[in-house]
Amino acid sequence: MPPLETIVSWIIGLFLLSLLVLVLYRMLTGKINTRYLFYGQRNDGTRYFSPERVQLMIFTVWVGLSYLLDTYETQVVHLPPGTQPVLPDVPTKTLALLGASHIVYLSGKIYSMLLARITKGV
Amino acid sequence: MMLLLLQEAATAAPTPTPGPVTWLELTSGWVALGFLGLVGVALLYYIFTERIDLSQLISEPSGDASMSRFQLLVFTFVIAASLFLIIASPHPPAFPKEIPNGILVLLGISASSYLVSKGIQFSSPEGASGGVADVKIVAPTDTTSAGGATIAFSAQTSGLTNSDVTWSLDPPMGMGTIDPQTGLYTPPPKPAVGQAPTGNVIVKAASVENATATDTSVVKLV
Repeated sequence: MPPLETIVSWIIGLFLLSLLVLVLYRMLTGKINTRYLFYGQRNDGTRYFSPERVQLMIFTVWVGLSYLLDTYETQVVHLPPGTQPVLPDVPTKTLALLGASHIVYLSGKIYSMLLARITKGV
Repeated sequence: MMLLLLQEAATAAPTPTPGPVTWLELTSGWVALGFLGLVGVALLYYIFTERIDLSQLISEPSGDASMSRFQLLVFTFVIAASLFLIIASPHPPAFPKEIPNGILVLLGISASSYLVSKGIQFSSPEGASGGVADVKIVAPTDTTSAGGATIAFSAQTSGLTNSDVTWSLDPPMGMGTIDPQTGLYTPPPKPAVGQAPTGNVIVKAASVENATATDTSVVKLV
């Protein structure tokens, strides 16, 4: 029989995987609301397709996946024997890119707000 | 010098070595594992059967999906999976001694951006009132018949400064009438001869201020 810690690992791994599959499945089938995920909203309540949201989503998925792969490669596959694994640090360039992506997203939001105010003459 | 080193080695605290696992430790471990396993299974089961409702997991109170919440969800899964990998891969498993600053900065960027976006949204009265221009029809009943009772529809608006709506019917003729201002629906009169009209008629309410904010309701004529 496998030791207790191995069974704990299996259970936690299975739980995380099941949760991820459930959430993804519900998002894809529309049971988790994703309405207007890529749409911004102006001050007058009208919505517009927002490219800044699309780029933010792409960066988010990219940063998340690259970090997960980095952890797997450096801390599981290529870890020297006898070394205790640690969470790898996020590279400064990645943080800078994500920060820039957020600035683009927020700038788009501010722009749409200001545009609506100028149009209204407020 | 040699003496000092020997003395230091002698006085140094010995590294604790794990002793044999007692039956009490083993039993406690299995009980804790069984409990946590059951909690996990229950959580997944309730989510699967929708008794735990995740439909608004990444939604704002207005009902629109939020990119910031989506990002937080992605990062939560990524960090949970990474933690699992580094805890479960060595033998014996061990929790990491520290969380790198980069992860904290990553989450900080995400959370700060969310706060700033909320600040932008709430800087306007429309944003503070929920943001989305929306109309919801409130129907006291959805069934009537030709020559039967009228139905007084009303509309609740949000994200709009003007709460007035215009009412209309689809089809516009032959299935009753609706007052464009008050929303009072009057079913068609019962004919003296022949069959009374039956079927569905769609009631539509559109915001006067913002034509994209609409809602519909169905009246069954039986």
